[in-house]
Amino acid sequence: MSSRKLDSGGPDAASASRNNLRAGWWGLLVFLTLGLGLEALNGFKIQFYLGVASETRRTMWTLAHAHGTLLSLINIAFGLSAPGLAALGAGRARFASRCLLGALYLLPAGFFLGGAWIYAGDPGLGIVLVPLGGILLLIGVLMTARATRD
Amino acid sequence: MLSGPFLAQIAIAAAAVGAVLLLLLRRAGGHRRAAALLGAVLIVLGAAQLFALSTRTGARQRSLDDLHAATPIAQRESFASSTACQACHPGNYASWHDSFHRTMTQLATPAAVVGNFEDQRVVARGRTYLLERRGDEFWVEMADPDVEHERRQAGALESREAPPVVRRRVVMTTGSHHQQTYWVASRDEHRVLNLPLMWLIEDRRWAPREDVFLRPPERGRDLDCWNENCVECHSTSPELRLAETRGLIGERAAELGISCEACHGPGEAHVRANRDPLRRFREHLAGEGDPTIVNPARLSAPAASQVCGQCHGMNVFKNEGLQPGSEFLAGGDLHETRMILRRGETNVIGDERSDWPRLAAHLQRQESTYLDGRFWRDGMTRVSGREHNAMTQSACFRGGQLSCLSCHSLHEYEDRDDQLASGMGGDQACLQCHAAIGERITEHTHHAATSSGSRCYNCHMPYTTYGLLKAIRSHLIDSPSVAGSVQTGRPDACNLCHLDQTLAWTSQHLNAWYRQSPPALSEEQSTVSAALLWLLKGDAGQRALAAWHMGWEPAHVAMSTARQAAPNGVDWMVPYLGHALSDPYAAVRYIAYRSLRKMRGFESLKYDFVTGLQDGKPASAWVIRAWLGSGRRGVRNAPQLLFDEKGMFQPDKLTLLGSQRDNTAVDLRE
Repeated sequence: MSSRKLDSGGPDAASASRNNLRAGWWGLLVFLTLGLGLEALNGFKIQFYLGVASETRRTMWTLAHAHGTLLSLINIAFGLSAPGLAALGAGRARFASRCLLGALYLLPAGFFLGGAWIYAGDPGLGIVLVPLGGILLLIGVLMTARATRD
Repeated sequence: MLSGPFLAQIAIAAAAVGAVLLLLLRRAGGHRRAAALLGAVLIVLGAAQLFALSTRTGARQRSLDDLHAATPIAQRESFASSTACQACHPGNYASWHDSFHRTMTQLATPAAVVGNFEDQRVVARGRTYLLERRGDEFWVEMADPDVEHERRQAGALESREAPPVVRRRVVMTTGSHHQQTYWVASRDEHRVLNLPLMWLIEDRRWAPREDVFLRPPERGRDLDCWNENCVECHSTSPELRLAETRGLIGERAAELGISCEACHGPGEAHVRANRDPLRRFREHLAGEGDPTIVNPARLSAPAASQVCGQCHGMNVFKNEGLQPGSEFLAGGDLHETRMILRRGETNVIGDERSDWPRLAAHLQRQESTYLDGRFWRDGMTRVSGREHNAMTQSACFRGGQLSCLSCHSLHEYEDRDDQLASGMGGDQACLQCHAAIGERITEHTHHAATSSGSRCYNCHMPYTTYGLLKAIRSHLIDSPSVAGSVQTGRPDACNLCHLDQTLAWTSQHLNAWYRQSPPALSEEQSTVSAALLWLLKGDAGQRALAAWHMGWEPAHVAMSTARQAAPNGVDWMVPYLGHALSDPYAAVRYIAYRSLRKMRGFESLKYDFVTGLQDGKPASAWVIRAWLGSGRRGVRNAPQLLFDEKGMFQPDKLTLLGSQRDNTAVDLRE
């Protein structure tokens, strides 16, 4: 990787990519820990999680764990690759970085909160965060993908 | 046997291995031809297996199609079916799915059938039934049920001339808890006739249907058309009409068995409306209930109880209730479409009869047993499955907020048997309204706090209803009363536990404890145990209740621990239960046998309640002889138990009282 590519977005872009790296690794820690927690709920047969009536909660929390882990990896990938994407530019890099960070926070949080309070087959209101996070993720990924053309 | 999916996996794997072998070994040189041959064989084998599997699947589907063609149609306009509820209400669906309501009526598949069909031969009342299982299908060779049914319609059921023997497929089941009965295909599509046998689940045996119900033995074989009677309550929202010749008939229901829409009403509009997530969240946040569906928990106590009462009640359809679109649906007013039957309230079945002549005529024909037999003389129901009639007569309902849901929960129940809500299996059910009594329980009951005599249910909801070959708790909540017992014939709670005591003894205590005026009692009621009088002199319903209580654990404990108890505990009941083994009613014999097996020395007694024989010989005399020979016969100071002053059993007194048995025809068919 050349020094030109590394500095392509300037200090702000580099700082943004570091933010994604940091958030990605910490996110990975949080969501892998959540995975362990869910395994423990399985292991101890906790009805709050495993009961038939808790099917929605189980689905939501499993999705929170899976999306959180995946988004952490995406953020790490962005943190590593953004400095090398000259076409991204400083402004776009910062925007894409924020989109991906937003997705990392909103998507798993939406699923988790949606599972914390449930209405039979429906998740709680927290689920409204999910589409917002999804949109941010789409934007962030699209911008990054477009920057790989050069 | 390997399952279909497993065979499919083997077939696909064999074909894949064959294809890979063909590809890989084509280049292997010397063994090329052998490899190609092996691969081709594997592919052919796989293909053959898949073909066989598809054929088998086709046969299974055809078999299932035949079941659907023979049985009532389970689909109705505006009903969505329970499967539509599952996705959004998984917890409620699961609790319903685990209940006996769901399995009330099922297609006769291997998952539903619990009876033994492995080449069984059953003989009952001159008819032979050959039961057979063929793969996933159940068949029976029997006297033509269509001919039997036509004879029943014509009132010539017990004709000695046997109809031609036919082989019919068993297509539907009813029951899954205590008993299971079976329905065979008839000549008409979607109409089913019963196999006149019942499988007793706990006893794991077949018995003639007529012997499983408490009904006059002279009535003969019990034959039914499911569409003419059972459909009313053993399916969800049946579509009924008044047939010209057969009374009520229904060949279509929303669902077989009792499913979600029986209690929540038609769900199609609810399903459609709630495809909109924004609407769902508006409903969740408002917390006021969804107007597109009925939630019995949000109804008034009477309306919620009517949801249960549509089946757990004794009522008949008014003509208006049989018009399209006017049936009772959850949340509606049961009185608009049904006539609640009560004995003693003559206006209920008086003037209104002119509005429904066919049903009035039907009732007129049956009334002597249909009403008189099913109610105690004070109007309380004697037969189970009619709890709504009893509950709505209770002061707690009339003057309070009691509903079925005060004690029962269809989704959060603590036991499958009674579907009682959590904590409602004990005193808490009553103490939720009568908390003050709970704080001074001994003062109220005059029994030790831990005694079964201090349990609210035992005194205020005693087992004075008959059903399913046992006694069931009364749902008319009242207090023990000797006067009431004498006037109505309904055994009082005290003497159902203190089986060794007289009505005079009970009257004395109720007077001392609760200032109840002692009623006038006959010499016999003052000197002979009330339970013995019910067992020996009572009608068939009273005899069944007395025999059941003689096997009731709390009664055994009460008699063994009370100061007034017979010295040798419960042994004294043996000869009387033995006597009941020769009762003319098979149901009474069955109950007496069950109680007798709880007595020391009779635990392994072999007895066939259908024939009344023990090892091919009359059982009553054998039991009494065995008991006399056991050396445990002395019961001193207990003249009320018909023993002399030396404690010797007096068979002549037993015979005398037995000869005074009330032989009134009693029909307590559930």
